[in-house]
Amino acid sequence: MRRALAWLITMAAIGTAWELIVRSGMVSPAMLAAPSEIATRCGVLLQPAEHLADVVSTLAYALTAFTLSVPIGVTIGLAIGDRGHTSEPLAFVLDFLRSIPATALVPVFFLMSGVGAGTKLAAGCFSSSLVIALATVHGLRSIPSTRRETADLLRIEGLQRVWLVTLPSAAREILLGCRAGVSLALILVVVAEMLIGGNRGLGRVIFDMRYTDDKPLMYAAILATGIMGYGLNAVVGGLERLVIYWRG
Amino acid sequence: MTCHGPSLVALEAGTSMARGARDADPLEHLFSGVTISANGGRSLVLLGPNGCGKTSVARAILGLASLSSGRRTARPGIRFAYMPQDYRNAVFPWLSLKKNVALRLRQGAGDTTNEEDLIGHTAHEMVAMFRRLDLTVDLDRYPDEVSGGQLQLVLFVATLVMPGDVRVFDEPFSALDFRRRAIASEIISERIPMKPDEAWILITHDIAEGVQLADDVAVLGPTRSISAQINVPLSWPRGSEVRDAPASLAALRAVGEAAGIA
Repeated sequence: MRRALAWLITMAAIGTAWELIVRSGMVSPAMLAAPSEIATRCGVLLQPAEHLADVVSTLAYALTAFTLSVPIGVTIGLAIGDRGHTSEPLAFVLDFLRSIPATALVPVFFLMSGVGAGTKLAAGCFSSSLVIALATVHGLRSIPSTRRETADLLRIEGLQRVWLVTLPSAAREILLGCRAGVSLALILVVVAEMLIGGNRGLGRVIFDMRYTDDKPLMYAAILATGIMGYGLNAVVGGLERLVIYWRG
Repeated sequence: MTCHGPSLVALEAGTSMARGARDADPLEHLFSGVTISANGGRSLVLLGPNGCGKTSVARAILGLASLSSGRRTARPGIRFAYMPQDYRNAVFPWLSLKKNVALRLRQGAGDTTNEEDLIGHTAHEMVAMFRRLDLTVDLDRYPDEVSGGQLQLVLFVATLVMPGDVRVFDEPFSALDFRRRAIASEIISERIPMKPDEAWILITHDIAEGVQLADDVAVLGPTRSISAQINVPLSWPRGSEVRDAPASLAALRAVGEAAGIA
Protein backbone atom coordinates (compact mmCIF):
# COMPACT_ATOMS: atom_id res chain seq x y z
CA MET A 1 0.00 0.00 0.00
CA ARG A 2 2.75 2.40 1.01
CA ARG A 3 4.74 1.19 -1.95
CA ALA A 4 1.88 1.92 -4.36
CA LEU A 5 1.48 5.35 -2.82
CA ALA A 6 5.17 6.10 -3.26
CA TRP A 7 4.94 5.14 -6.91
CA LEU A 8 1.81 7.18 -7.48
CA ILE A 9 3.17 10.30 -5.81
CA THR A 10 6.53 10.14 -7.60
CA MET A 11 5.00 9.64 -11.04
CA ALA A 12 2.34 12.28 -10.49
CA ALA A 13 4.94 14.78 -9.26
CA ILE A 14 7.18 14.24 -12.30
CA GLY A 15 4.22 14.49 -14.68
CA THR A 16 2.84 17.63 -13.06
CA ALA A 17 6.22 19.35 -12.98
CA TRP A 18 6.82 18.50 -16.63
CA GLU A 19 3.32 19.69 -17.59
CA LEU A 20 3.79 22.97 -15.70
CA ILE A 21 7.20 23.65 -17.25
CA VAL A 22 5.74 23.37 -20.77
CA ARG A 23 2.44 25.17 -20.04
CA SER A 24 4.14 28.08 -18.28
CA GLY A 25 6.19 28.74 -21.41
CA MET A 26 9.53 28.21 -19.66
CA VAL A 27 10.42 25.87 -22.50
CA SER A 28 9.30 26.48 -26.06
CA PRO A 29 6.61 24.04 -27.28
CA ALA A 30 8.78 23.65 -30.38
CA MET A 31 11.25 21.82 -28.19
CA LEU A 32 9.26 19.98 -25.56
CA ALA A 33 5.71 18.64 -25.59
CA ALA A 34 3.55 18.40 -22.48
CA PRO A 35 2.74 14.91 -21.14
CA SER A 36 -0.98 15.47 -21.72
CA GLU A 37 -0.35 16.17 -25.41
CA ILE A 38 2.03 13.21 -25.72
CA ALA A 39 -0.61 10.95 -24.20
CA THR A 40 -3.12 11.93 -26.87
CA ARG A 41 -0.63 10.99 -29.61
CA CYS A 42 0.41 7.68 -28.11
CA GLY A 43 -2.65 5.97 -29.53
CA VAL A 44 -1.46 6.82 -33.04
CA LEU A 45 1.50 4.49 -32.56
CA LEU A 46 -0.84 1.57 -32.07
CA GLN A 47 -3.15 2.26 -35.02
CA PRO A 48 -2.49 -0.03 -38.00
CA ALA A 49 -3.31 2.78 -40.46
CA GLU A 50 -0.78 5.09 -38.79
CA HIS A 51 2.43 4.09 -37.05
CA LEU A 52 1.90 0.57 -35.74
CA ALA A 53 4.12 -0.74 -38.53
CA ASP A 54 6.95 1.48 -37.29
CA VAL A 55 6.66 0.14 -33.76
CA VAL A 56 6.54 -3.46 -34.99
CA SER A 57 9.45 -2.87 -37.37
CA THR A 58 11.75 -1.47 -34.68
CA LEU A 59 10.86 -4.22 -32.23
CA ALA A 60 11.27 -6.95 -34.85
CA TYR A 61 14.67 -5.68 -36.04
CA ALA A 62 15.98 -5.24 -32.51
CA LEU A 63 14.82 -8.71 -31.51
CA THR A 64 16.17 -10.34 -34.67
CA ALA A 65 19.53 -8.60 -34.36
CA PHE A 66 19.77 -9.64 -30.72
CA THR A 67 18.66 -13.22 -31.33
CA LEU A 68 21.27 -13.62 -34.06
CA SER A 69 23.94 -12.09 -31.85
CA VAL A 70 23.54 -14.62 -29.02
CA PRO A 71 24.92 -17.69 -30.83
CA ILE A 72 27.45 -15.54 -32.71
CA GLY A 73 28.72 -13.84 -29.55
CA VAL A 74 28.86 -17.02 -27.48
CA THR A 75 30.67 -18.90 -30.27
CA ILE A 76 33.26 -16.14 -30.66
CA GLY A 77 33.69 -16.04 -26.89
CA LEU A 78 34.16 -19.80 -26.67
CA ALA A 79 36.60 -19.75 -29.59
CA ILE A 80 38.75 -17.07 -27.99
CA GLY A 81 38.22 -18.76 -24.67
CA ASP A 82 40.71 -18.79 -21.91
CA ARG A 83 43.88 -20.07 -23.52
CA GLY A 84 46.28 -17.88 -21.60
CA HIS A 85 48.68 -15.90 -23.74
CA THR A 86 47.21 -16.88 -27.09
CA SER A 87 43.76 -15.51 -26.30
CA GLU A 88 45.05 -12.24 -24.83
CA PRO A 89 45.50 -10.35 -28.12
CA LEU A 90 42.19 -11.64 -29.44
CA ALA A 91 40.39 -10.56 -26.29
CA PHE A 92 42.05 -7.16 -26.68
CA VAL A 93 40.81 -6.82 -30.26
CA LEU A 94 37.32 -7.69 -29.05
CA ASP A 95 37.54 -5.17 -26.25
CA PHE A 96 38.83 -2.50 -28.61
CA LEU A 97 36.10 -3.08 -31.18
CA ARG A 98 33.54 -2.86 -28.42
CA SER A 99 35.09 0.41 -27.26
CA ILE A 100 34.34 2.07 -30.60
CA PRO A 101 30.92 3.68 -30.16
CA ALA A 102 29.01 1.36 -32.44
CA THR A 103 26.98 4.30 -33.73
CA ALA A 104 30.19 5.57 -35.34
CA LEU A 105 30.22 2.42 -37.43
CA VAL A 106 26.70 2.77 -38.76
CA PRO A 107 27.96 4.57 -41.92
CA VAL A 108 30.32 1.64 -42.48
CA PHE A 109 27.48 -0.85 -42.28
CA PHE A 110 25.57 1.46 -44.56
CA LEU A 111 28.35 1.18 -47.15
CA MET A 112 28.55 -2.57 -46.81
CA SER A 113 24.92 -3.52 -46.52
CA GLY A 114 23.11 -0.76 -48.39
CA VAL A 115 20.05 1.16 -47.33
CA GLY A 116 17.87 -1.81 -46.52
CA ALA A 117 17.25 -4.11 -43.64
CA GLY A 118 20.84 -5.37 -43.80
CA THR A 119 22.32 -2.28 -42.20
CA LYS A 120 19.90 -2.29 -39.30
CA LEU A 121 20.50 -5.96 -38.59
CA ALA A 122 24.25 -5.76 -39.08
CA ALA A 123 24.64 -2.74 -36.78
CA GLY A 124 22.46 -4.19 -34.03
CA CYS A 125 23.93 -7.65 -34.30
CA PHE A 126 27.53 -6.39 -34.41
CA SER A 127 27.47 -4.45 -31.17
CA SER A 128 25.37 -7.00 -29.34
CA SER A 129 27.63 -9.89 -30.44
CA LEU A 130 30.69 -8.06 -29.17
CA VAL A 131 29.42 -7.55 -25.63
CA ILE A 132 28.12 -11.10 -25.48
CA ALA A 133 31.47 -12.44 -26.74
CA LEU A 134 33.36 -10.41 -24.16
CA ALA A 135 31.01 -11.51 -21.40
CA THR A 136 31.57 -15.13 -22.46
CA VAL A 137 35.35 -14.70 -22.31
CA HIS A 138 35.03 -13.20 -18.83
CA GLY A 139 32.77 -16.05 -17.83
CA LEU A 140 35.33 -18.60 -18.99
CA ARG A 141 38.07 -16.86 -17.05
CA SER A 142 36.04 -17.00 -13.87
CA ILE A 143 35.78 -20.80 -13.85
CA PRO A 144 37.40 -22.04 -10.62
CA SER A 145 40.57 -24.02 -11.32
CA THR A 146 39.32 -26.97 -9.27
CA ARG A 147 36.28 -27.23 -11.52
CA ARG A 148 38.44 -27.15 -14.63
CA GLU A 149 40.80 -29.78 -13.22
CA THR A 150 37.89 -31.96 -12.16
CA ALA A 151 36.62 -31.89 -15.73
CA ASP A 152 40.13 -32.74 -16.98
CA LEU A 153 40.54 -35.69 -14.63
CA LEU A 154 37.04 -37.00 -15.37
CA ARG A 155 37.94 -36.75 -19.05
CA ILE A 156 34.93 -34.64 -19.93
CA GLU A 157 35.92 -33.52 -23.41
CA GLY A 158 34.75 -31.96 -26.64
CA LEU A 159 31.15 -30.89 -27.05
CA GLN A 160 30.13 -32.64 -23.88
CA ARG A 161 32.54 -30.42 -21.99
CA VAL A 162 31.13 -27.28 -23.59
CA TRP A 163 27.58 -28.30 -22.76
CA LEU A 164 28.20 -29.83 -19.33
CA VAL A 165 30.92 -27.62 -17.89
CA THR A 166 31.87 -24.54 -19.89
CA LEU A 167 28.51 -23.01 -20.77
CA PRO A 168 26.87 -23.47 -17.36
CA SER A 169 30.00 -22.08 -15.69
CA ALA A 170 29.83 -18.94 -17.81
CA ALA A 171 26.02 -18.75 -17.89
CA ARG A 172 25.69 -15.88 -15.43
CA GLU A 173 28.18 -13.70 -17.30
CA ILE A 174 26.72 -14.61 -20.68
CA LEU A 175 23.24 -13.59 -19.53
CA LEU A 176 24.63 -10.34 -18.17
CA GLY A 177 26.17 -9.78 -21.61
CA CYS A 178 22.80 -10.53 -23.19
CA ARG A 179 21.13 -7.81 -21.13
CA ALA A 180 23.67 -5.29 -22.32
CA GLY A 181 23.43 -6.74 -25.83
CA VAL A 182 19.67 -6.40 -26.21
CA SER A 183 19.84 -2.73 -25.16
CA LEU A 184 22.65 -2.09 -27.63
CA ALA A 185 20.78 -3.86 -30.42
CA LEU A 186 17.81 -1.55 -29.91
CA ILE A 187 19.99 1.57 -29.81
CA LEU A 188 21.72 0.62 -33.05
CA VAL A 189 18.49 -0.25 -34.83
CA VAL A 190 16.94 3.11 -33.87
CA VAL A 191 20.05 5.04 -34.95
CA ALA A 192 20.19 3.16 -38.26
CA GLU A 193 16.53 3.97 -38.85
CA MET A 194 17.29 7.66 -38.37
CA LEU A 195 20.20 7.65 -40.81
CA ILE A 196 18.57 5.59 -43.54
CA GLY A 197 15.92 7.56 -45.45
CA GLY A 198 12.63 6.22 -46.81
CA ASN A 199 12.34 3.61 -44.16
CA ARG A 200 10.07 2.48 -41.38
CA GLY A 201 10.74 2.41 -37.68
CA LEU A 202 10.47 4.52 -34.56
CA GLY A 203 13.84 6.10 -35.27
CA ARG A 204 12.43 7.29 -38.58
CA VAL A 205 9.32 8.70 -36.88
CA ILE A 206 11.41 10.56 -34.30
CA PHE A 207 13.73 11.95 -36.99
CA ASP A 208 10.93 12.99 -39.36
CA MET A 209 9.00 14.79 -36.64
CA ARG A 210 11.92 16.97 -35.54
CA TYR A 211 11.13 19.88 -37.88
CA THR A 212 7.34 19.52 -37.78
CA ASP A 213 4.83 20.84 -35.30
CA ASP A 214 3.96 17.35 -34.20
CA LYS A 215 6.36 17.28 -31.24
CA PRO A 216 3.89 15.24 -29.16
CA LEU A 217 4.21 12.40 -31.69
CA MET A 218 8.00 12.68 -31.62
CA TYR A 219 7.98 12.36 -27.83
CA ALA A 220 5.43 9.57 -27.96
CA ALA A 221 7.81 7.66 -30.24
CA ILE A 222 10.74 8.38 -27.93
CA LEU A 223 8.66 7.13 -25.02
CA ALA A 224 7.86 3.99 -27.01
CA THR A 225 11.56 3.24 -27.58
CA GLY A 226 12.08 3.66 -23.85
CA ILE A 227 9.30 1.24 -23.00
CA MET A 228 10.71 -1.17 -25.57
CA GLY A 229 14.21 -0.95 -24.14
CA TYR A 230 12.98 -1.43 -20.60
CA GLY A 231 10.77 -4.34 -21.61
CA LEU A 232 13.45 -6.16 -23.61
CA ASN A 233 15.89 -5.78 -20.74
CA ALA A 234 13.34 -7.09 -18.27
CA VAL A 235 12.54 -10.10 -20.46
CA VAL A 236 16.21 -11.05 -20.84
CA GLY A 237 16.69 -10.47 -17.11
CA GLY A 238 13.78 -12.80 -16.47
CA LEU A 239 15.45 -15.43 -18.62
CA GLU A 240 18.25 -15.55 -16.08
CA ARG A 241 15.91 -16.94 -13.43
CA LEU A 242 14.62 -19.43 -15.98
CA VAL A 243 17.99 -20.59 -17.30
CA ILE A 244 19.96 -20.65 -14.05
CA TYR A 245 17.96 -23.07 -11.94
CA TRP A 246 20.80 -23.90 -9.59
CA ARG A 247 22.31 -21.96 -6.74
CA GLY A 248 25.99 -21.36 -6.13
CA MET B 1 52.67 -55.92 6.13
CA THR B 2 52.01 -55.07 2.51
CA CYS B 3 54.70 -55.75 0.00
CA HIS B 4 56.07 -53.04 -2.26
CA GLY B 5 54.26 -52.91 -5.54
CA PRO B 6 55.61 -51.13 -8.61
CA SER B 7 55.62 -47.36 -8.70
CA LEU B 8 52.43 -46.11 -10.35
CA VAL B 9 53.28 -42.44 -10.28
CA ALA B 10 56.27 -40.62 -8.86
CA LEU B 11 58.01 -37.30 -8.54
CA GLU B 12 61.69 -37.95 -9.16
CA ALA B 13 65.06 -36.23 -8.88
CA GLY B 14 64.03 -33.69 -6.32
CA THR B 15 61.04 -32.17 -8.03
CA SER B 16 60.21 -28.52 -7.44
CA MET B 17 57.29 -26.35 -8.36
CA ALA B 18 57.32 -22.57 -8.47
CA ARG B 19 54.53 -20.09 -8.11
CA GLY B 20 54.42 -18.60 -11.59
CA ALA B 21 57.79 -18.12 -13.33
CA ARG B 22 60.03 -21.15 -13.83
CA ASP B 23 63.17 -19.79 -12.19
CA ALA B 24 61.44 -17.80 -9.52
CA ASP B 25 62.83 -16.86 -6.14
CA PRO B 26 63.39 -20.03 -4.07
CA LEU B 27 61.05 -18.57 -1.45
CA GLU B 28 58.36 -18.58 -4.07
CA HIS B 29 58.52 -22.35 -4.32
CA LEU B 30 55.31 -24.19 -3.66
CA PHE B 31 57.58 -27.10 -2.78
CA SER B 32 61.14 -28.06 -3.61
CA GLY B 33 63.40 -31.10 -3.72
CA VAL B 34 60.55 -33.57 -3.33
CA THR B 35 61.19 -37.19 -4.28
CA ILE B 36 58.16 -39.33 -3.72
CA SER B 37 56.46 -42.37 -5.18
CA ALA B 38 53.00 -43.90 -4.98
CA ASN B 39 53.48 -47.66 -5.09
CA GLY B 40 50.96 -50.36 -5.87
CA GLY B 41 49.12 -51.77 -2.87
CA ARG B 42 50.43 -49.07 -0.57
CA SER B 43 49.07 -46.01 1.06
CA LEU B 44 51.14 -42.85 1.11
CA VAL B 45 50.17 -40.12 3.53
CA LEU B 46 51.37 -36.56 3.08
CA LEU B 47 51.49 -34.86 6.43
CA GLY B 48 52.42 -31.34 7.28
CA PRO B 49 51.31 -28.01 8.69
CA ASN B 50 49.16 -25.52 6.77
CA GLY B 51 50.83 -23.92 3.79
CA CYS B 52 53.68 -26.43 3.50
CA GLY B 53 52.73 -27.43 -0.04
CA LYS B 54 50.77 -30.65 0.47
CA THR B 55 48.10 -29.80 -2.07
CA SER B 56 50.72 -28.61 -4.57
CA VAL B 57 52.55 -31.94 -4.27
CA ALA B 58 49.27 -33.73 -4.91
CA ARG B 59 48.53 -31.56 -7.95
CA ALA B 60 52.02 -32.27 -9.28
CA ILE B 61 51.48 -36.01 -8.83
CA LEU B 62 48.14 -35.73 -10.65
CA GLY B 63 49.89 -33.92 -13.48
CA LEU B 64 47.73 -30.84 -13.08
CA ALA B 65 50.56 -28.37 -12.64
CA SER B 66 53.83 -27.81 -14.48
CA LEU B 67 57.07 -28.48 -12.62
CA SER B 68 59.96 -26.04 -12.44
CA SER B 69 62.51 -28.82 -11.99
CA GLY B 70 62.61 -32.56 -11.52
CA ARG B 71 60.43 -35.06 -13.28
CA ARG B 72 57.08 -36.77 -12.98
CA THR B 73 56.84 -40.36 -14.13
CA ALA B 74 53.54 -42.15 -14.41
CA ARG B 75 52.54 -45.55 -15.68
CA PRO B 76 51.04 -45.06 -19.14
CA GLY B 77 47.26 -44.79 -19.13
CA ILE B 78 47.11 -44.32 -15.40
CA ARG B 79 43.78 -43.10 -14.04
CA PHE B 80 43.25 -41.00 -10.97
CA ALA B 81 40.34 -40.82 -8.59
CA TYR B 82 40.80 -37.43 -6.96
CA MET B 83 38.93 -35.74 -4.20
CA PRO B 84 40.23 -32.18 -3.93
CA GLN B 85 40.23 -30.16 -0.75
CA ASP B 86 38.03 -27.59 -2.47
CA TYR B 87 35.22 -30.13 -2.75
CA ARG B 88 32.49 -27.54 -3.47
CA ASN B 89 34.15 -26.81 -6.81
CA ALA B 90 34.72 -30.50 -7.53
CA VAL B 91 31.03 -30.88 -8.27
CA PHE B 92 29.02 -29.13 -10.95
CA PRO B 93 26.29 -27.16 -9.15
CA TRP B 94 23.91 -27.44 -12.14
CA LEU B 95 23.93 -31.22 -12.02
CA SER B 96 22.18 -33.29 -9.36
CA LEU B 97 24.33 -35.24 -6.91
CA LYS B 98 23.37 -38.37 -8.82
CA LYS B 99 24.66 -36.96 -12.12
CA ASN B 100 27.83 -35.72 -10.43
CA VAL B 101 28.44 -39.18 -9.01
CA ALA B 102 27.61 -40.85 -12.34
CA LEU B 103 30.21 -38.68 -14.14
CA ARG B 104 32.82 -40.12 -11.79
CA LEU B 105 31.72 -43.67 -12.44
CA ARG B 106 32.26 -43.54 -16.20
CA GLN B 107 35.07 -45.73 -17.46
CA GLY B 108 36.39 -43.00 -19.75
CA ALA B 109 35.44 -40.20 -22.10
CA GLY B 110 33.79 -42.60 -24.53
CA ASP B 111 31.63 -44.28 -21.91
CA THR B 112 28.01 -43.47 -22.77
CA THR B 113 26.36 -45.74 -20.21
CA ASN B 114 23.38 -43.89 -18.77
CA GLU B 115 23.58 -42.63 -15.22
CA GLU B 116 21.08 -45.09 -13.76
CA ASP B 117 23.19 -48.02 -14.99
CA LEU B 118 26.43 -46.40 -13.88
CA ILE B 119 25.00 -45.84 -10.41
CA GLY B 120 23.32 -49.25 -10.48
CA HIS B 121 26.61 -51.13 -10.72
CA THR B 122 27.94 -49.63 -7.54
CA ALA B 123 24.67 -48.75 -5.82
CA HIS B 124 24.98 -51.62 -3.37
CA GLU B 125 28.44 -50.64 -2.30
CA MET B 126 27.58 -46.96 -2.02
CA VAL B 127 24.36 -47.50 -0.11
CA ALA B 128 26.20 -49.73 2.36
CA MET B 129 28.77 -47.00 2.95
CA PHE B 130 26.13 -44.29 3.24
CA ARG B 131 24.41 -46.41 5.88
CA ARG B 132 27.60 -46.93 7.82
CA LEU B 133 28.29 -43.22 7.70
CA ASP B 134 24.72 -42.58 8.83
CA LEU B 135 24.19 -40.40 5.79
CA THR B 136 20.67 -39.81 4.54
CA VAL B 137 20.76 -37.66 1.46
CA ASP B 138 18.53 -37.46 -1.57
CA LEU B 139 20.83 -37.87 -4.56
CA ASP B 140 18.33 -36.05 -6.78
CA ARG B 141 19.16 -32.85 -4.94
CA TYR B 142 21.65 -30.26 -6.19
CA PRO B 143 25.03 -29.82 -4.49
CA ASP B 144 24.15 -26.44 -3.03
CA GLU B 145 21.02 -27.84 -1.43
CA VAL B 146 22.95 -30.12 0.93
CA SER B 147 25.32 -29.28 3.76
CA GLY B 148 29.10 -29.19 3.37
CA GLY B 149 29.46 -32.38 5.40
CA GLN B 150 26.87 -34.25 3.34
CA LEU B 151 28.47 -33.15 0.09
CA GLN B 152 31.90 -34.16 1.32
CA LEU B 153 30.62 -37.61 2.29
CA VAL B 154 28.91 -38.15 -1.08
CA LEU B 155 32.09 -37.14 -2.87
CA PHE B 156 34.17 -39.30 -0.55
CA VAL B 157 32.10 -42.39 -1.27
CA ALA B 158 32.03 -41.65 -5.02
CA THR B 159 35.82 -41.26 -5.07
CA LEU B 160 36.16 -44.60 -3.28
CA VAL B 161 34.06 -46.52 -5.81
CA MET B 162 34.99 -44.73 -9.05
CA PRO B 163 37.46 -46.36 -11.44
CA GLY B 164 41.05 -45.32 -10.79
CA ASP B 165 44.53 -46.69 -10.21
CA VAL B 166 45.60 -44.02 -7.79
CA ARG B 167 43.15 -42.54 -5.30
CA VAL B 168 44.09 -39.14 -4.02
CA PHE B 169 42.18 -37.65 -1.09
CA ASP B 170 43.07 -34.11 -0.06
CA GLU B 171 41.75 -33.40 3.46
CA PRO B 172 38.68 -35.56 2.77
CA PHE B 173 37.27 -35.24 6.28
CA SER B 174 37.56 -31.49 6.82
CA ALA B 175 33.79 -30.92 7.09
CA LEU B 176 32.96 -34.12 8.99
CA ASP B 177 32.03 -34.49 12.63
CA PHE B 178 34.25 -36.52 14.94
CA ARG B 179 32.24 -39.74 14.73
CA ARG B 180 31.94 -39.78 10.94
CA ARG B 181 35.63 -38.96 10.64
CA ALA B 182 36.44 -42.14 12.54
CA ILE B 183 34.06 -44.24 10.44
CA ALA B 184 35.40 -42.78 7.19
CA SER B 185 39.00 -43.55 8.24
CA GLU B 186 37.91 -47.07 9.05
CA ILE B 187 36.31 -47.48 5.62
CA ILE B 188 39.49 -46.28 3.91
CA SER B 189 41.62 -48.62 6.00
CA GLU B 190 39.48 -51.57 4.92
CA ARG B 191 39.88 -50.74 1.24
CA ILE B 192 43.58 -49.91 1.12
CA PRO B 193 45.03 -53.44 0.83
CA MET B 194 42.36 -54.69 -1.53
CA LYS B 195 44.16 -54.30 -4.83
CA PRO B 196 47.93 -54.55 -5.25
CA ASP B 197 47.81 -52.51 -8.47
CA GLU B 198 46.13 -49.59 -6.77
CA ALA B 199 47.88 -46.87 -4.80
CA TRP B 200 46.50 -44.44 -2.26
CA ILE B 201 47.58 -40.94 -1.44
CA LEU B 202 46.06 -39.17 1.52
CA ILE B 203 46.67 -35.64 2.63
CA THR B 204 46.03 -34.59 6.18
CA HIS B 205 47.40 -32.41 8.93
CA ASP B 206 46.09 -34.74 11.64
CA ILE B 207 49.14 -36.80 12.64
CA ALA B 208 47.24 -39.61 14.40
CA GLU B 209 44.86 -40.00 11.47
CA GLY B 210 47.78 -39.91 9.04
CA VAL B 211 49.70 -42.64 10.82
CA GLN B 212 46.58 -44.80 11.10
CA LEU B 213 46.02 -44.72 7.34
CA ALA B 214 49.62 -44.90 6.08
CA ASP B 215 52.07 -47.50 4.93
CA ASP B 216 54.44 -44.62 4.36
CA VAL B 217 54.25 -41.15 5.80
CA ALA B 218 55.99 -38.29 4.03
CA VAL B 219 56.35 -35.29 6.28
CA LEU B 220 56.42 -31.94 4.54
CA GLY B 221 58.08 -29.32 6.65
CA PRO B 222 57.68 -25.57 6.73
CA THR B 223 60.59 -25.35 4.26
CA ARG B 224 58.24 -27.00 1.76
CA SER B 225 60.41 -30.03 1.25
CA ILE B 226 60.15 -33.53 2.68
CA SER B 227 61.77 -33.67 6.10
CA ALA B 228 61.20 -37.39 6.70
CA GLN B 229 59.72 -40.54 5.22
CA ILE B 230 58.49 -42.93 7.86
CA ASN B 231 57.29 -46.50 7.43
CA VAL B 232 54.30 -47.72 9.48
CA PRO B 233 54.60 -51.53 9.78
CA LEU B 234 51.01 -52.38 10.75
CA SER B 235 48.55 -54.73 9.08
CA TRP B 236 45.28 -53.67 7.48
CA PRO B 237 42.49 -52.95 8.20
CA ARG B 238 43.14 -50.56 11.03
CA GLY B 239 40.46 -49.24 13.32
CA SER B 240 41.11 -46.29 15.59
CA GLU B 241 42.37 -48.78 18.23
CA VAL B 242 45.64 -49.22 16.30
CA ARG B 243 46.50 -45.68 17.33
CA ASP B 244 47.64 -47.15 20.66
CA ALA B 245 49.76 -49.95 19.13
CA PRO B 246 53.53 -49.68 19.79
CA ALA B 247 54.29 -49.42 16.06
CA SER B 248 51.84 -46.54 15.80
CA LEU B 249 53.30 -44.77 18.76
CA ALA B 250 56.81 -45.18 17.40
CA ALA B 251 55.71 -43.80 14.04
CA LEU B 252 53.84 -40.97 15.74
CA ARG B 253 56.98 -40.04 17.65
CA ALA B 254 59.09 -40.12 14.51
CA VAL B 255 56.58 -38.03 12.59
CA GLY B 256 56.29 -35.60 15.47
CA GLU B 257 60.04 -35.17 15.56
CA ALA B 258 60.25 -34.68 11.82
CA ALA B 259 57.46 -32.13 11.96
CA GLY B 260 59.22 -30.41 14.85
CA ILE B 261 56.35 -30.87 17.30
CA ALA B 262 57.64 -33.53 19.67
